[in-house]
This record gives sequence, C-alpha cells and structure tokens, in this order.
Amino acid sequence: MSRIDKDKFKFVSEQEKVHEEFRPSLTYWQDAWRRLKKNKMSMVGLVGIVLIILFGVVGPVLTPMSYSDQINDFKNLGPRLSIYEIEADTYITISPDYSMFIIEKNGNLVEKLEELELSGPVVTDDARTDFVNVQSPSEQRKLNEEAKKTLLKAYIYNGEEIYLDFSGRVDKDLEHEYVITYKNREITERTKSVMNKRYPFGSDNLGRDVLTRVMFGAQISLTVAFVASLVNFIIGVTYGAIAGFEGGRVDNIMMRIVDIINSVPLVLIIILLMVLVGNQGLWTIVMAIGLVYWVGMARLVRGQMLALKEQEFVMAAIALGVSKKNIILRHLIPNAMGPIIISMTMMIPSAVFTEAFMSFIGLGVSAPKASWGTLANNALSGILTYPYQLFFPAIAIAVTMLAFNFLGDGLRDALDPRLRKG
Amino acid sequence: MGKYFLKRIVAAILTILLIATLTFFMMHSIPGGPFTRERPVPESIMERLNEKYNLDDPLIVQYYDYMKGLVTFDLGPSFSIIGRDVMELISAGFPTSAKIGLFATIVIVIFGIPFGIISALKQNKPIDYTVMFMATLGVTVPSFVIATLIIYVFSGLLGWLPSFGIENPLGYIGPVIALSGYSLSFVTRLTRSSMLEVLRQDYIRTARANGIKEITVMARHAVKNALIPVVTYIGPMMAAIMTGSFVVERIFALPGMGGYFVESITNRDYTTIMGITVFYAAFYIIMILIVDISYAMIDPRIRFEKGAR
Amino acid sequence: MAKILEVNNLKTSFFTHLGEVQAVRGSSFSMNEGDILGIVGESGSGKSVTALSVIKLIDEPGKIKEGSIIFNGRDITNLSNSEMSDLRGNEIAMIFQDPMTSLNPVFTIKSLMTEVILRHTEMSKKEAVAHALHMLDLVGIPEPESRINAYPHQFSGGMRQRVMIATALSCNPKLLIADEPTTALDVTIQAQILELLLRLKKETNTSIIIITHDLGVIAEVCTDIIVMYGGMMMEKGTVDEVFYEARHPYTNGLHSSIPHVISGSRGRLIPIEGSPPDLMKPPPGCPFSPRCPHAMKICLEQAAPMFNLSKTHTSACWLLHEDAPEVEGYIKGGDQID
Repeated sequence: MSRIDKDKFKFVSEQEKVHEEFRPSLTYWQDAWRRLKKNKMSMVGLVGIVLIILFGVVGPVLTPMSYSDQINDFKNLGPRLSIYEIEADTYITISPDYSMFIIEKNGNLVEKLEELELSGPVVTDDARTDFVNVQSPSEQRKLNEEAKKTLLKAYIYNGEEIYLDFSGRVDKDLEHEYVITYKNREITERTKSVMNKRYPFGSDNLGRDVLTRVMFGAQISLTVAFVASLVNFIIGVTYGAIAGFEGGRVDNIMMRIVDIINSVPLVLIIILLMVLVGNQGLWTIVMAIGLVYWVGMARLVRGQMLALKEQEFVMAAIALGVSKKNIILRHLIPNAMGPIIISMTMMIPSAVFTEAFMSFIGLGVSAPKASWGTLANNALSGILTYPYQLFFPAIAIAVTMLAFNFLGDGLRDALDPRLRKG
Repeated sequence: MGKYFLKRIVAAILTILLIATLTFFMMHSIPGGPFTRERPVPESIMERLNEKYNLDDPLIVQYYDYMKGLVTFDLGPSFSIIGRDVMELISAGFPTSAKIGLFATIVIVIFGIPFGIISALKQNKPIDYTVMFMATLGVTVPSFVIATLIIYVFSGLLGWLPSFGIENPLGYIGPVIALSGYSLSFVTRLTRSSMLEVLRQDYIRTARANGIKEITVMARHAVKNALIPVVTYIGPMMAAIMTGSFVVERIFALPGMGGYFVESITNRDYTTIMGITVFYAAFYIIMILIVDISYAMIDPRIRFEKGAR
Repeated sequence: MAKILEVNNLKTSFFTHLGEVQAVRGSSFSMNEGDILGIVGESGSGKSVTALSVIKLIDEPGKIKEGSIIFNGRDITNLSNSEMSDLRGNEIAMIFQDPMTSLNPVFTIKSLMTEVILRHTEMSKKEAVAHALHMLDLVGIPEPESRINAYPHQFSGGMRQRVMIATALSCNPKLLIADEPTTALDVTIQAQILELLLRLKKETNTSIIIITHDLGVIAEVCTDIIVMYGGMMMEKGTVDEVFYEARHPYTNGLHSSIPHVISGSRGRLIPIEGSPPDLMKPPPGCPFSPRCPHAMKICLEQAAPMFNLSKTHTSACWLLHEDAPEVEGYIKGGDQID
C-alpha cells in the first residue's frame, strides 16, 4: 500500500470542487447554420448556386452579343478552332461543314470566304449532314462509298483561289486531315488551336452565341424554377396548413383531392396543361409547374401541422385567444420551417429539370427565348458534329442540379433536430 | 385482407374513369382547344372526326360516346396522322417501351439493392464513398444529359454502341442505362439509408443477443425490414421510367410509345395525346395497385391493420 | 458453489469523432451460480454498458479497452464474434428494456423462437416448435398454440416481454442478463415479470444479472447488489448489506432520496445535488466527489480503491481509509483491494 499524505484527508469546501463548464446555448437556427457551414459539400453547393445566379444575371451584360443576335455566316463554329497559316500573318480556319473563314491569330473571326463552284466528282455539304441523320445501315454504307471519292472545295480570297481537300477527314487512312492549296503552296499542318474569341462557347445553327444563350438560359431556367417553387410554396403551405390544422372532415376531403392528383405522374398533367394552353410565354410553364407540384409541399406541411398542433404551446395560444390565422402563421408554420426549407431547396432543381424536360420535348418557352432545355433540344440533331452545342447547356443543367442537391443534403442534416448538440 | 384489396381495386377503376372524364372535358371545353373550329384542320380529318365524334352533338352525347369507346379500347383516330387509330399506335409502340422499361427495372433491382446494402455494411469506407458519389450524380444529372453523353462517347467517339434504334441488340444498352440511371441511384441511396436505419434497431440487437449468426442477422433479419421502404418506391419508379421513356426513346430514335407520344405533342395530335395520356394514367394506377398489394403482403402490420378483423 | 462470472478491471469506451467516452472505467466483480445480482445506478453510470460488455455486444464505435471476463471458468475476453454467437442465447442470454421495439416485426413468434432453438440445439423443426410452445406456456402466455403464429405487433408490451424471456431461456442458459426488464412496463405488469423471473430461477437455477435504476426492483428480487456511478463501482454487497449497512455516500444519498410512504408524515425529499460527470472528460478522482457531502482533498485527486468490509461487502470510499477522519456511519475496517 502506497503512502498517502495525511494532509489529503481534509474535507474540501464547495468552491474547491470542480465546477461544470457551461457551453453557451445556441438557438435552433444558429446551431443549424453552424453545422451547415462545417459540411464542405453543401458549402460548395451554396457557392455554386451563387455563381450560377451571377452567371445568369451579370453575364449577358458583359457579352458583346445578345441571345438573339444572329450572324448567319458564322453559324456552327466550335469553341476551339484550329487555324492554318496560308501566308504571312494570314490565317484561316475551317468549320465542321467545310466553310472557310479568315481569322486572326488570337482567335478573332474576321470574315467568311465566298465559295467557288467546282466541277467534277465532288460530294457536297448535304451528304455530310446526311452522315449524321442516317436512317438505315444501307444508307450508311452507300455514303461510306461516296466518301471514298476525293472531297474538294474551293474558295476565293483577295482574288486568289484556295483549294481544300478534306478527304482525310473521312478516310482516316490518308495522311493529312486537310490539304489546303493557296498560291501553289500546300499547307497541311495547323499552326495552333485557339479559343474562338467571338464565340467562347461556340455558335449555334443560326450564328448565335452559345455562351450568351446559356447565360440567358440561366435566367430563364432559374426564374422558372424559383418562381414555380414560390408558387408551390404558397399554395402548398396554405393548403397543407389548413388541412392539417382543421383536421377531421376538412382534412379528409382536402387530402382526398391531393391523392387523386397524385395518382397520376405529375409530368403527364403538366404536359396536358401545356398542350392545351399553348405557348403563351414564360408564365405558362411557370404556372403549369406551380399549379401541379404543390401537392408534395401540401402533404409535408399537413403532416407537420398534425404533429405540431398536439403540442402544448398551441393549446396555450388557443387559451390566450389567439386567432386561428395567427396560430397558423405565427406559431405553427415557423416551427415547421425546417422541413419546409429542405423541401423548397429540393423543389428548385426539380423545377429546373421539369422545365428542361418540357423544353426538350418541345413544350417549353418559345423562340428566340431559350432555356437550357430548349438549347439542348435544338442541339440534339447535331450532336455528333457539333457536340459543344449540347454539352454546354447540358452541363449547366447538371451543375445547377448538383449544386442544389448538395445544398439540400447538407440542409437536411443541419436542420435535423435529432443531431442537435448545441 | 380481401376487403382491403377490393376497396383498392374499385378505387383504382374509379380514378381511371375520373381521369378520362377530366381529360375529355379539358380537351373539349377550353377555348382555343383542339375540338373548337378555331384551328384549321385538314378536310379528311374533319370528316373522320365528325364521323367518330359527332362534334355537332351536345357535349353529353359526345362524352357518352367517348366513354363507351374507352371501355372497348377504342380511342379514336389520330388527329394528325391520317388513317391511323390511336390504339394502333399504342399497340405498335407499347411492346418496345415495355421491354426497355422491364430491362431497366431489372437493372435497377439487381444493382441498386445490393449496392445499397454493401454501402450500408461498409459505411464510411472507400467503397461507400464511391457508390454514394456515383449515386448522387445519378439522381442529379437528368436522363437526357446521360443519354446524350452515352451517344457522344460510346457511339460517336468510341463507336461501341449504335447511336439509334434497336435492330442491333447492343442498341438496348444505351437506352436502358439512360432510363435506369436516376431510379438506380435513388434505389441505391434508399436501400443504404434504410439498411442503416434497420441496423440501429433493437430487434437486430435481440437477434445477435440470441446468438444468431451475423450473416443470418444481416441477410434475414435486416434485409427483409430494409426492403420495405424500397418497395414503396416502386410506384414513383414506374412514373420515372414512364416519363423518362419519352426523352430516351426520342434521343435514341426508338419505335416505342414514348417516342410516339412526344411526336404527337410536337404535331399537336390531340386525340393521340389524350389517348396515350389516359393509357399512361391507367397503366400507372394499375401498377400502383399491384405495388400496394405486394406491400401488404410483405409487411404484416399493414396486412392486419387494413384487413380481416 | 461455483463462480459463474468473474469480471476483472473492465474498461469499455466509445471512440466517437468527438472524443473518447469512457463508459466503464475499471469494474471488477464476481458472481456465484444461482445469484441474482442487481446493478443499480443513474443513467450514464455505466451499468448497461457493463452488461453489454459481459455478453460482448459492444458495437462500433465502442470497444472493450481493458480487462478480462471469465464465464463459467472460461476466459471469453478475446473470443471472436462468431465464437461468442455460439454462447449467446445458449449459455448467456440477454433481454432488453423496450419490448415494443425488441422483436422483429416481420416474423412470427414461431419463426423467431424456433430460429434460436434450432441454432443452438439438435432438435428437429417439430421438436423446436413443441419446445417453443412449452416455453410460452412457462412464461404465462395464454393459448400458446394459436398465439405462436401471431406477429409481435399483435401482443401487448407485457406479453412481448414474456416472449423475449421465453426466447432467451429456451436453450437453458446459465446466465441471464436483464437490462431494465420492467422499466418500460406498467407497475402491475412489472410485478408479474419480476415474479416470473423468480419462479424461473427457482426451477432452473439460472444466475441472473438485473440492471435497473429502481431500488424497489432490487429489493424485490436480488441477492447481491452493485452500485455504479460515473463509470465506476461505488459499492458492492448482499442486499442486506447494501440496504442496511451502506458505507458509501452515494448509496446513502440514494436511500435518502427515496420517498417514504408513511401515512401522516410530511417529510421532504432529499435529492442529491449536482449532476453526473461528463464521461468524455471524467474527473481524475472519485466521480462522485463533486456531489459528495464528505469530499476530501484526496477524493478530488485519486479514485478510491475498494475496501473489503466483509467477505461479500466492498466499498470504494476514502472515508474507509485508516487515515480518514471519523464520520458517523462509515466504520472503517477491512483492507484495500489494490
């Protein structure tokens, strides 16, 4: 047995005993925000959303072209262009449909060259386009044969002829992709690859700037999404609050109606509405989405109401004579805000998707206004030749939805009262 | 239990009829809608329409004729494709759509559920993160983005898959992946969270305390409970596959019902739109009914609540 | 009399991402065959975790850090999970607190019970069913032949608890651990369950550990008691010793805080001031010292060792050290168990 100092066996006073540390108590929202901040993915999502909004709102102001400006000459050019030096400080570039352009070394397009008629066995543009929309394997075979003939085009520049042999594009066994002949010189190596300065994301089939259109599409897609979600919120919360709070027969009937609406895929209803009302503009799609998807929110809010109204603070409020409207507005709904916010955050990407979906099947906003879905739809036929026209809007949609989903996931964890520790 | 099923079946039939009625009145009553004379319509179609629908008759009679037709599966002639009946289009397209939908469903079940379970068992380990990352992408990236990516990469760049049609059996791969992408990811996430929830439950602890082998606890006690929420998802999954098929069939140029539906929308072929909508609605309601019934069979608590007392 | 269980210096912690929660910080005790040992303490005292450690059902992120467990002469400390599963339900059984959630809702009682019986015995399916029926009858389930085909949600709480007991005892375990078996039940049902446990013990001589926070339950059925606080054992002894000759400030505090129902009296309840320690940052000394009316300097610095007060009675309190001041009720004596 070890020796213990006899001094230790003296009684201690209350102050000498260890006191518990008290951590400051946080409100529900402070605690939730703190937890959200810690979640890296949600913060990435939040930042992403802010950036996308800026992209859509500020972007179009900064670009030289508007979403509807067309320069037909410069249609269907990609975001990166290979340039060829045909003589000192003069460069040309070739588009996927074999038009030739004078371009500056830094990527600034100057002008389209006029084409010369050639006689001889030449395969024209149409055959090239047909390559993409081939309807059957036999047609494909026929075209492959055609392509084995020499493919040649000619242009005029400053009075001189430029010949372009592009058989190498089709017949992969040939040495060079392009053989350009100018002033009796053959140019086969490209000088370099530059960014298309005029069209950073490329141009579409009417010569419109894809970047500007994607930015504008952000405006459209996001506006539709936010406003539709807002309509959903207002209708859904009101409906659900009344149903949940009243309970009994009122609740039964109201939920019956919701069940009937829910018994068909909501997309079908939206399609029907859009088909019937026709395209009256942006607000058609907004109202169509808003008037259909509220059922989810209504269900959620009703559930919350049913749970909350049994709690004592509600009885207290009633005993104090607070009016029904005020009980719902000032006591119940604020307490249900957690799930409501989460629901809203997830509704927005849903709306983006629905709007894109509608536009994709031809029922969205009308030209020249374009949402991302419309852009994707228009670009579909040219996907193999001009993939960038589809990629940029598709990526925009995907990134937006990802951002909102990350944020939504994080919010769900942050607002879950069971995880509270503060 | 029998009473429960009967009630549900009757409710389903009533709902279908209600939807058909609503669709009918929507089509007929909205000014500027299809059956008003405001839209110019080719003579031959007008003739057939009048013949079929007696557009000069009072609305009620038209409604009666319509409903009669419905019961005999006669949905009328196509509004824009001369000489074709709506039902013809549906019968031509449905088998293809159903086949692809079925393949997609099989893929979802065979991959989604096991991946979800594995993720749950190896929570927070690398495989969990990988699977969850892919699944998150799958639920957020829309099906038409996935579809176009597949075409560009696998058909355009690599040439492994045909870019359209299903004459070549490989042509099924792209559509099935694009169609199942969302639901597969959703089922994976759902199974994982459900499994995690179940593994926390007291009855799992009881099973272990009674000495049941761990693998039996997982495979028997846990999985059976974990699958219950997944079964409830099958309904919405049907909806997702259905609506997904519109886009996928269009992009891959497949001769399915979804493709015809989108075409009819583009052409404003109103009778076809109406007919296919009612068909889809009816199909969906029946699927939900089947799901509800299977749900009652799996979870005894539901069975006994609704039933045979 | 054989020793059925021996626990030496058990330390169990939960390694969470916020830190190490030291749930059990050095418990040592033993049990003889046929004992009914009650482990009593507040929430967070470590009593449940001790029980779960004995049957080795501590899940991630928990781990038995240190110590040894010897069951029926066999060291089971380092047995693998699958080796333990042979013992669980077979020689050591456990029943839990909440009967409403402790039975798998998608299986019938028949299915649940026969699974356990078939796992540990060589019986045929038919024999297993017959045995299950016998057990259900034993625990007092009326009409077992028809009820065995029912699902858990069709039983009341008390019935479910009986089913759990029937399942746990179906393979004749030597040791039954009951974690708060009556806490979730009505008082009348509580009495029935306790009476059932006593009856079963009489017939089979199963040793029982009962975890509870209810001193009344302890008084009814137990032969020996361990008092736990803050992850450590405070006092251990027979029922009589701990109830009538308690020599630990915590145990005495517990006794004072029980209301005494004597008609006509209007005494005040004397609660124990303060609250239990934070097990992530446990104090270095005796865990009860912040709340102890007799705390000394040494109590704050070092946890007290167990002092042997009789063959069966031990207490971990510095007041029992020979150098400590005299306090009424704390007769010193006995050596330290180091």
